[in-house]
Amino acid sequence: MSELIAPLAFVFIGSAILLLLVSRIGLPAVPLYIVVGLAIGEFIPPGLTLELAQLGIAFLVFVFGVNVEPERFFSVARDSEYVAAAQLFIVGGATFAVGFLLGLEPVSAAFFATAASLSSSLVGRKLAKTDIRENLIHGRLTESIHFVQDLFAIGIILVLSSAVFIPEAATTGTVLDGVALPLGYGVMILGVALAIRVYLFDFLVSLSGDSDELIMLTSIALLISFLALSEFVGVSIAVGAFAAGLAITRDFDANLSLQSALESIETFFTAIFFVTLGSLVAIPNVDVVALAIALGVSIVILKPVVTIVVLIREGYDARTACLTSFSLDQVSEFSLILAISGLLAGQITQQLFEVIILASAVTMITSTITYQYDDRIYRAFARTGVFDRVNAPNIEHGIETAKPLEDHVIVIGYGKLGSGVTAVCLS
Amino acid sequence: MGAIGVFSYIAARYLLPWLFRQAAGDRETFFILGIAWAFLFIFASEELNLSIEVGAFLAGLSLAQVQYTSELTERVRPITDLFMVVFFSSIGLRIAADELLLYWQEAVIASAVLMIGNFAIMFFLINYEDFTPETSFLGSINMVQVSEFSLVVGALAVSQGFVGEPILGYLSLMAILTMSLSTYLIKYNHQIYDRTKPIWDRFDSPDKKDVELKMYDNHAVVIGLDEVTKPVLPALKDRVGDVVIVDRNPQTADEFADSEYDVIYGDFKHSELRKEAGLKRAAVVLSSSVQSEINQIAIREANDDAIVIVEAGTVDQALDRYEEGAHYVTIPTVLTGLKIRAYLEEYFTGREGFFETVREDVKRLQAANESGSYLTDGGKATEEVNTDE
Repeated sequence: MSELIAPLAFVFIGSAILLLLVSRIGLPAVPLYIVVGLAIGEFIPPGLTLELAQLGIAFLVFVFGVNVEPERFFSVARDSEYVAAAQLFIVGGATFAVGFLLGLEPVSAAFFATAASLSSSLVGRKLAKTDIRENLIHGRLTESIHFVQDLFAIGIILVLSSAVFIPEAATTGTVLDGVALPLGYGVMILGVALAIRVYLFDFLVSLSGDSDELIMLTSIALLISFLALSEFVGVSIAVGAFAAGLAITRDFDANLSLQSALESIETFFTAIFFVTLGSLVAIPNVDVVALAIALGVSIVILKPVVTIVVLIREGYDARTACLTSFSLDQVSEFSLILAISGLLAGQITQQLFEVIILASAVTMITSTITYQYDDRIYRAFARTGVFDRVNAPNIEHGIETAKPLEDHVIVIGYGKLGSGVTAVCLS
Repeated sequence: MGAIGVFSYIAARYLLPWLFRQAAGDRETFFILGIAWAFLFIFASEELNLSIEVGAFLAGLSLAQVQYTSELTERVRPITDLFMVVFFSSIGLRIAADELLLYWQEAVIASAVLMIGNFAIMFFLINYEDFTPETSFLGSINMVQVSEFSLVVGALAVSQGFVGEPILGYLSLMAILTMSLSTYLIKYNHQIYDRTKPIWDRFDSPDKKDVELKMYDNHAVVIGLDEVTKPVLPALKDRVGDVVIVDRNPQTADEFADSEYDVIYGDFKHSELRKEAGLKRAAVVLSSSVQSEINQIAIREANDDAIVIVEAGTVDQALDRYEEGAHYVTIPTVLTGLKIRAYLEEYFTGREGFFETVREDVKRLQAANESGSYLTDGGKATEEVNTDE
C-alpha cells in the first residue's frame, strides 16, 4: 500500500496542476494526463504502474460497457456503421501497408493500423459535447461513429489479445488453437453477462432496496466476478470488464446515483491510466519519432479525408462531413489499452508502444485544435473549390425551383422557432 | 504534524476557496483537485514519517471549509465506498477464524459494557443540556456501536507492532456485534421509546425543550438558474417563503451569497444534495434543466401536493414529462416562437400595436439592465409580463 502513495500523489497532484493551468483553454483532459505522465515518468517505478494501468483499463472499459444499451444499438448504429467500417478498413489497410513498408512485423503492423483507424470517444465526445446536446447532425454522427468504433475496438481486443494469455498455444500449436479457444470463452462470458442483464440484474437491484451504496457495490462485485472469470479462462480482462458493464442495465429508478458514482470512478481511473501510460515512455529516439510522425499523418490527414469522402458518398453535405471528421482525428483510448496489453504480452516492442503513445498524445491535442477551428478550416477548403462538385447540385436545385423573389421573408434556421414563424408568414 | 495542521488551516482560509473557484466550472478538474489535495497531505505525512491517516484527515478538514464541500463529498463518495470495502475486507482477511474468536467472551462482555455505558453517558450528557427526554433517548440509542475508526486504529497498532493479530480480531468481533445489534436498535428506536416511555418521563421537566434546527418545509426548490427561472424567484419568495436554488455553476453561489435565497452548489443527481434541499417537503419545484433524468427524478421525488414545473428540450420530451406527472412543462424556444408569431400577426394586422408592444418590451429590458437583474424590482417584471397577456 505505502509504495502506491508516492506514485498516486504524483499522478493526481501533477494532473490537478496542469488541469488548472489550462482550464481556460478547454483542452480535453486525456492528452494532458499523458503529458503529466511523460513529465513524471522518472518518479514512478515501472512494475507498479503496469498494475495500476491494468486496473485503469478494467474500470474504463467497465464504465463504457455500462453505457452500452444493446436495445438501442440498431437505432444508433444505423447512421454510421457503414462510415465507421469504411474508415476502419480503408485507413487501417493503408496504415497497415505503411507500417509493413517501414519494416514492422505483421502483428506489430496490425497494432499500428488499429491505432490509426480507431478514434477516441473520451476526447471526441468531450469536444463535441455541445453539438451532441443540441442534437446537431454532426454531433449525432460523431457520437454514433465513436460508439460503433468502440464496439469494433472491443472485438479487436478480444481477437488480438486472444493469444496473450496462452502464448504456448500460439507458439507450439497452431495459431488457430490459440485464438479460437479464448474467442469462444470470450463470447461465452458475454453471453453470461447478457443473461444476467435480462434475468438477474433487476432482482439484484430490488434486493439492495434504495441504498445507493449497495447498488454501486453490487456493480463493483459484478465487475470483480467477471474479471476473475476472464482471468480464470484466460481471456483479456478488458473483455471481462466489458461483459460486467453489459450485465448492468441503466433502466431502473435509482440509476442516477449509479451513473454519478460511475462518473467519479471513471474520472479517478482515467487519470491513473493515462498518466501511467505517459510515464511508460522514455525520451524518444529518431526511429520512434519517425514512426510517430507517419502514424500522426495518417490520423490527422488520411483519416479525415476518408471520413469526409465516405460521408459525402452517404449523402451528407460537405460541411457536416468536415465537422464530423474533425472530431474523429485522434487515437482511441482503446488503441492504448490494446497497445499496453500487446506490450505486456510481448506482441509489440517497447519502441512501437512508445510510437503509439506519443502519436496519441499529439493527435489528441491537435484534434482539439482542429475541432476549435473546424468552421474556419472547412471554409478555407471550400474556397479552394474541392467541394464545389458536391455542393453544386444542391444550389442549382434550389435556384431552379424558385421564381425571382421580391417582398419575401427570409427565415434563417428552421428549428422550433423558425418553423413557428414560417407558419405565420405562410398564412 | 503541527506544521501540516497550520498549513491546512491557512490554505482553507486563503488558498482553497480560490483554487476551487478556478476549478468549479469543470467537473473533472474539480474532482481531480479534491483528490490531489488529499494526496498532497498524505504524501507529505508519509515523507515526514508521520501518520498518513492524520494527514488525510487534515486534508479533509481544510476541504470542509470550502463552500463546494457537499458536491465534493458526493463526488468522492463512490471512491470512498470502493476503498472502504477493500479496507474492511483486508482487515477480515488478516484475521484467522480462531483469532477472531480467541477472546470471544471478553468481546461479548466489552460489547455489553460499551453499549450500555455509551447509552448511559450520552443520555446523561444530552439530558444535562436540557433537551427533551425523547431527544436524549433517540440521540443516545443511535450511538451504541463501535466506530469504524477503532478498526483503523487497531490495524495501525498491529502494523506498528504494538498489539498482536488476536487483539484486532477482538476489536473486529466487537464491531460486528455492536454494529449489527445497533442496526435494529436504530431501526426500531421510536417503538422502543414508546414502550419504555414511563422510564424516560421521569427526566422530564417544564424548562426542557428542543432547539429546532432549520429545516426546509413547504418551500420552493429551483433547479438550475438561468434566464427562465431568474424572473420567477421574487414571486416564489413572496408567495412561498424559503427558496432553495440548486445549481452547478459556481458563479451562482457567489452571486447569491448575501441574498435572501439559499444556494446549494452541486449536481442535482446526488441524492444527498436533494435531501439537503428538502425536495420531498417542497411545495413548489421548478427546474430549468432540460436533462430528462434530472426532471424525472424531480417529478418522482416531489411531494404529491407540490406543484412541479420543468423544462424540456423537445415536444416529445415535454409530453413524456406530462405523462410522468409534471404539472407544467415549458419549452422556452417554442414559447419564444409562439410569442414572435403573435408579434408578427400583430405587425401584419396593425403596425401600431406591434410597435407599442415592442416599446414595452424594451422598457422592461432596460429596467432589468439597470437593476442588474430581475431580482431587485420585487417581482414587478414578472407581474408585468402576466398583465401583458
